[in-house]
Amino acid sequence: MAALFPPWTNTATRIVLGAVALAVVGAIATPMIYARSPYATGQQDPVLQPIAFDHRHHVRDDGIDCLYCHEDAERSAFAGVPATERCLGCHNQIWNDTPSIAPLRDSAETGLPIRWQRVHSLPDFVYFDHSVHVRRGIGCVSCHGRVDEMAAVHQVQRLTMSWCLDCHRDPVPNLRPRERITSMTWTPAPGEQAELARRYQPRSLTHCSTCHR
Amino acid sequence: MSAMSHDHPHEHPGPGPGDDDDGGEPGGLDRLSRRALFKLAGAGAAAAGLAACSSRPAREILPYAGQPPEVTPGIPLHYATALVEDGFATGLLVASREGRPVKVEGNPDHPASLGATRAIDQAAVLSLFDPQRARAVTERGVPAAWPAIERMLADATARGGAGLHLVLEPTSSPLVIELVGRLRAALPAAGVTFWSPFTPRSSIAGNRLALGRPLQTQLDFRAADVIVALDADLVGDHPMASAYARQIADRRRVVDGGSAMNRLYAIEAGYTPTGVMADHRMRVRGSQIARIAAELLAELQRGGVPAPAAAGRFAQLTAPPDRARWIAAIARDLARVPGRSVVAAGERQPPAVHATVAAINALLGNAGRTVGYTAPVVFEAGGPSHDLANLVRAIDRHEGDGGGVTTLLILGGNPVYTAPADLAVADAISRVDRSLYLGLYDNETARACRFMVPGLHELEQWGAARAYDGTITPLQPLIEPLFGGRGVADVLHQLLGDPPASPRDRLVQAWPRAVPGADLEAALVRGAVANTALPGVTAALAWDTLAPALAAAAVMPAEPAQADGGATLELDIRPHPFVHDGRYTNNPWLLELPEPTTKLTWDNAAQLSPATAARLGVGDGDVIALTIPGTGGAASRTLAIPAILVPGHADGAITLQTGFGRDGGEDIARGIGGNAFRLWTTTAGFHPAARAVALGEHRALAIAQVEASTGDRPIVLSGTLHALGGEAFRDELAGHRGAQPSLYPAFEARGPQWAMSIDLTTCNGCSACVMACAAENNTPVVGKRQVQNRRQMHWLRIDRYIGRYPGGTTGAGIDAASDATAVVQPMLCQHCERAPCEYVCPVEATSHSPDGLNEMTYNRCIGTRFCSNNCPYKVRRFNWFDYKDHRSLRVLGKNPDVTVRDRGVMEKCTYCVQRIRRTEIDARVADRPIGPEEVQTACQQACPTRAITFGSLTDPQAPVVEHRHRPHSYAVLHDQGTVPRTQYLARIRNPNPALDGTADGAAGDRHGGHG
Repeated sequence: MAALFPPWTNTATRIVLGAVALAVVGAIATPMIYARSPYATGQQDPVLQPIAFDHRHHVRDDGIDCLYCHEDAERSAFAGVPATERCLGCHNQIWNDTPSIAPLRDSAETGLPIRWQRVHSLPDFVYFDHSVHVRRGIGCVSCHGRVDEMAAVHQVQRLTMSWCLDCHRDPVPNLRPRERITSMTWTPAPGEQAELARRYQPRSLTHCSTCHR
Repeated sequence: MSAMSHDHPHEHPGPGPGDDDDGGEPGGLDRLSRRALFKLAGAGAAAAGLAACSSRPAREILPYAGQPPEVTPGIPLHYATALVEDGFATGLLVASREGRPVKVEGNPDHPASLGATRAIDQAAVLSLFDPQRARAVTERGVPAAWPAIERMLADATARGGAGLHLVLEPTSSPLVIELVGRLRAALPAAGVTFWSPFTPRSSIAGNRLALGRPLQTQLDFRAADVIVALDADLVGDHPMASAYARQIADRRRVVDGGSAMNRLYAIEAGYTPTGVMADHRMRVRGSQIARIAAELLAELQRGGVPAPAAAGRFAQLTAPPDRARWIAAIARDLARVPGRSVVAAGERQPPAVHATVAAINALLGNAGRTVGYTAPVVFEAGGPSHDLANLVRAIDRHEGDGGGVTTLLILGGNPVYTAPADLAVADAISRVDRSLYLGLYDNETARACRFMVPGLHELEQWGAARAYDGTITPLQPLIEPLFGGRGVADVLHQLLGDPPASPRDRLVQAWPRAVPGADLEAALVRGAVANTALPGVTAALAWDTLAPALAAAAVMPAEPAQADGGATLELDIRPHPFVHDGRYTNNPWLLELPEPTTKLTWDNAAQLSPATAARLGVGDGDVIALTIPGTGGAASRTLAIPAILVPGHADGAITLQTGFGRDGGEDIARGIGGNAFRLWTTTAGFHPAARAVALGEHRALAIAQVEASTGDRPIVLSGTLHALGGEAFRDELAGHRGAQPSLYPAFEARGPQWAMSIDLTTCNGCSACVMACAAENNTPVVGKRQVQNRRQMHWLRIDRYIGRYPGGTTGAGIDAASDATAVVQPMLCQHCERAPCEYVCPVEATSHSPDGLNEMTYNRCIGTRFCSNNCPYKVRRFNWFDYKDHRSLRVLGKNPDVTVRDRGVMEKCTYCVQRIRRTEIDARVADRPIGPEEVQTACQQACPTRAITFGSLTDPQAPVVEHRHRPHSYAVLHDQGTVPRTQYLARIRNPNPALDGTADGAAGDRHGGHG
């Protein structure tokens, strides 16, 4: 009896089986890869702000420390975005008639807030606290990147749970002296971080209620 | 699709208002056909696919334009203010998050709070953010302009106030009192009436009889060894309930069998938290209390307590046989501790009872020690201006002589709803052409008046009031008036023609006159002005007025305590513990909070004893028609209301709570329960001749706990103080704690080890903790229908079990079920060290933290509910529906530190992990250790009796460690091997050996009897 199927069907079957296997793996892997890709995490994506605030100029040219504007980072969960009146501390004297800060002048006049767009956004079920990280020697640059080199601030790190856990499992490589928290360029001397770990006693906290409440 | 969209949550003003055919969102599921289900499933799958495609929502950061110097985003601020009820202030500290009040705590510096709160106080935030509050000035329901009212007020002052009548709530505010004084001087023809149904009247009249002056009774339990509560709910229904509960509990803290305890006797009709706390509880109808007080006085005299000759003819009075042993035992107990006891009568009792009680306290030497008297705190309390009949008379005069009332201003309260049924107040108000109502809601009174003006919630007000002891308490707002409301003082100032000023400026101006020598800023910081409690008055017994009152009591017929043969029943009307006189009925938190002893939610019902119910042939939910015969030609009044059986209720009596059967514009309050005020008259809190007939209808009640028996499982352990001193009971208790063999691995413990201890001896079931937990943890309200489905979401519940103590409650028990005694037990996640829930979760959404918490991670949960099925304590709660309520004004009151859970997610008590982590972070930031009592859970902080203790087992200074070493510390269901971190201190009673058969017994009690 002649073969029911011609020989090419063997190849076709292998291709179909391979495609099915690939589809199954792909169906699982694709969303996982996607969720970790900058497209989903929002990394490297400059956010348009109502005022084209340039951190490069304020941090590098003017030498303003991070904590001058984000002053609550050492004592509150939120680092804080400066009130209009903080901006006006300088800008009622200098560049006070520039068209680009019109929203600032409007805010001062009307008392309504400037509507800044959030760059680093965590889900509502995550409770991150700036103060304890800063006090344990985690610097701004570790999570926010070289803000001093950004014209428009963008998210540098993935901000996924696995990224948080990387540091929560072993915080030592990210430690720095408290007095250099805001430095964008500090690099550890050999053995310095082990010494800091002894002083600051950072804990490795990986249980769920550390962040989820 | 239509079946579902009809019940879509967003189309509802709030969670299920509880009418029977529409119990909130889930109603549609029952009516869903198979075909509709498939359609929905298909649409749901498609929607799920679409949802996955949505990009993340753009989010904004809105900094302040000018940041107030005291505000740091993320750090709560606390402001001292007060809630005022019936004229009495309770001091509070309210947490504000970036300008939003989110949580109420007690003010430790305030005498009515002592740091604790009532359930009502905890729910204040939800009332503030109630989307159904009145929002605009209206005239007959149509938006109107304020100038029209200004013109009306100007007209009313034209003829020296002739034709003007004001109705205010009873007030203790020095500012309002000053304004009323000015008003009476400027407009001498104007009438002023103060009305609130449950402001103290009878006690003040009774003191006038006994002491010759209208005085307010002040109790002090700190030195009281024996307390007799005669129909007095001292720890539940009293302006000082929180403080009194603390004082009584402070004398009931058992460390071991050698501890000293006070002894509390409760003699009452319905079951109250005071009755729960009592060592001995006698159930009698309210009308018998007068006779019992007289019998007690007579027995004391026979026992040798000296009394003047004027009380002489009294000595022959004896108690009927079934309670003679009780009266004799109580009298001996009282005489044993002269000057160190308190006898108290409830406000429902007639003045003669209060007079008798004043005499007893004087003869026992209590007056001036544990019982004091002060001038009344409420302005003109007990005076003629507090009689609502004045208003009706004033309006009726109108028709005769053309004078009377042409302008009626009702500033607060809800007199149309709360008026005694024998006064036709609604009818009278409707005859006044120019009437105005100032209040929070478009309620019954607002609808009877021409103008409605939105009022102010306490958390929006500047002002002042006095606590029950007289302490001056300033009020300050937490938020600008949400709907532009006006205060009572604003209207009075307008009436007096004062120039406009801000409420704060008015307080600043009036303060030096109101409270001379006290700094307002300091008072606002502290929340009370120290040393402004009213001075005690020493008053001798006025025998010429007292003796006739006593003589009247002495000739009262003595009915046996449990007589229940007659055709008529006694109707006892009392305020609901949570919605009070109806002012809080639109607050769904308070409606869903189970009533402490009946566990009824979303309703009121006719409470009656099992024996009386059997005689009427009714069970839970069977509707009875209650009829009060008309007097003096008036028609009889009838109320149809479902029955609820209360073991321990007096036979032959029915207790009905007020606040329900509302008929105003509030959507949640309207139409639930029955209006007890329709059967209420001012003459007494009970009506002796009500008739009850079973109607043969059934109305399903939402009772939060239907199983009243522990089935002899080791859940609630209790015993006597005497037994605790002996080996047998101590050994039995020791068998309920300690290590248990287990196959499961222990968790890896690091850092502090959090644990809780709950003292069942001092818990009275007041439920403040339950409300505090809901406010702190954003737990949703599910509605009546879902309570009936056992789907309520309270993380902390109070279980009430019915037990029997050998010897019975009344000495000669007629019926075992009726004579039963209730015990209460707060039940929450026990944070088991070997937690059964954790082993069965397929996605590790529930896990153990190194500091001993059983964690629940909502974002991992997929809703299998295996954990709940495996929990022996049944403390896990599942979000069957979407309760997020994101588009409502109520979202402003949510705690930003706690995730608002989504549909399909399991949740449960976290030991207030957000507070633990906050404290840990604060301590780490400051490089200091955590203090032994630094972390307080929300339930612990609210508890008036401090029954809840929380701390770390690794801290030897923590009180919770010492609690673990007490002989009566035990773990619930210890035999399950779960090793719970929450342990209980067994309920210890201090019975009078002369009354209690178990005083000599060595073993603990059983709570298994009634099922």
